[in-house]
Amino acid sequence: MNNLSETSFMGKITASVTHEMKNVLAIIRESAGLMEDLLSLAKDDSFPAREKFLKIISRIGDQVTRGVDLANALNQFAHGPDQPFATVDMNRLIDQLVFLCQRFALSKRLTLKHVAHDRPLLFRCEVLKVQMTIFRGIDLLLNVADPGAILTIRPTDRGDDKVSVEFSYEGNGIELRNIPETVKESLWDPLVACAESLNAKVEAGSRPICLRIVFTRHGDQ
Amino acid sequence: MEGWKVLLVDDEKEFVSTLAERLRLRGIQADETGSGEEALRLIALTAPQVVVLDVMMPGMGGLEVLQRVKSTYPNIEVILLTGIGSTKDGMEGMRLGAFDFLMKPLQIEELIEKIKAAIEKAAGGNA
Repeated sequence: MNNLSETSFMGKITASVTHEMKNVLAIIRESAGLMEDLLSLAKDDSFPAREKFLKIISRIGDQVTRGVDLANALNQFAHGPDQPFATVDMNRLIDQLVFLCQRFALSKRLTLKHVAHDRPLLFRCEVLKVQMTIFRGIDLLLNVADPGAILTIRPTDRGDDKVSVEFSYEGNGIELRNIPETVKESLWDPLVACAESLNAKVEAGSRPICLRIVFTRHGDQ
Repeated sequence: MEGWKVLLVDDEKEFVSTLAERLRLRGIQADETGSGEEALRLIALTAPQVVVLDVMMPGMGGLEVLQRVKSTYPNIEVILLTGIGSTKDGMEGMRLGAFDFLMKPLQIEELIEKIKAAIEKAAGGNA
């Protein structure tokens, strides 16, 4: 583990823990499965709470699946720093990020959605920095949209060497062109700085598309 | 599933013992062990048709066990269990002669399907 950067260190530990989480989930799934097997062997009338137990076992199964999805997304995210530059599919990258950010949206009573481009959007980039820039965009919108709003992120191929990520929201909130100075300092300026470090451009628009980040592809697609 | 003989190898004891019990409830003769070294000893003793083998184990790892099994008992089929983001391990295992690989946590129905296909292959399609 020589010459580990802070992000690689975090990623390595997180990825390792996600493996352990999957082992825990595997034991829970098999244990619930064994209970189900044993119940199916028992006669219908020999266990009065049978139906209730079957429902509980089914709920355990659903939660294991949810845990596996989270562990998978977290594992992929944690492997981001493995290769600072990599070719990724922007659809998949945003899908994963939106999945991992659902808790932030829920806590503000907002809906966060991703509408994928109709074909893979291969993009050679600094993966972690691109994720962070998009996250800053999400974070900004989560703070300007009112509860109940629906936020949608949509990547599109601009047909040249550029990929654009558009953020739109339905519902009430503050127009990005009129954001208060405090929001500008704490959320808008860091987003712009993050984007500029990638030679990406941030544009504020009028709703429904209120924010656009335009990334430039690197060579070697 | 009567007559199927399977060895499960995984250092997660609760996982492997529970999975073995579930397979036994379905009429499969399932033995279990928590280490690669012990697995090689049991294979020599019990001659299973299929070995279900975790890739990530302390001591002798799954890929090393796989290589030893395939070099000594080419007719025994090996199904690998991998973690998340370990498709690379699974593909490497296939290159080394594994029958197939599954990701943990697995679905028992999917495992049984794979065991069935592996036994059919080992028996030349006559299982």
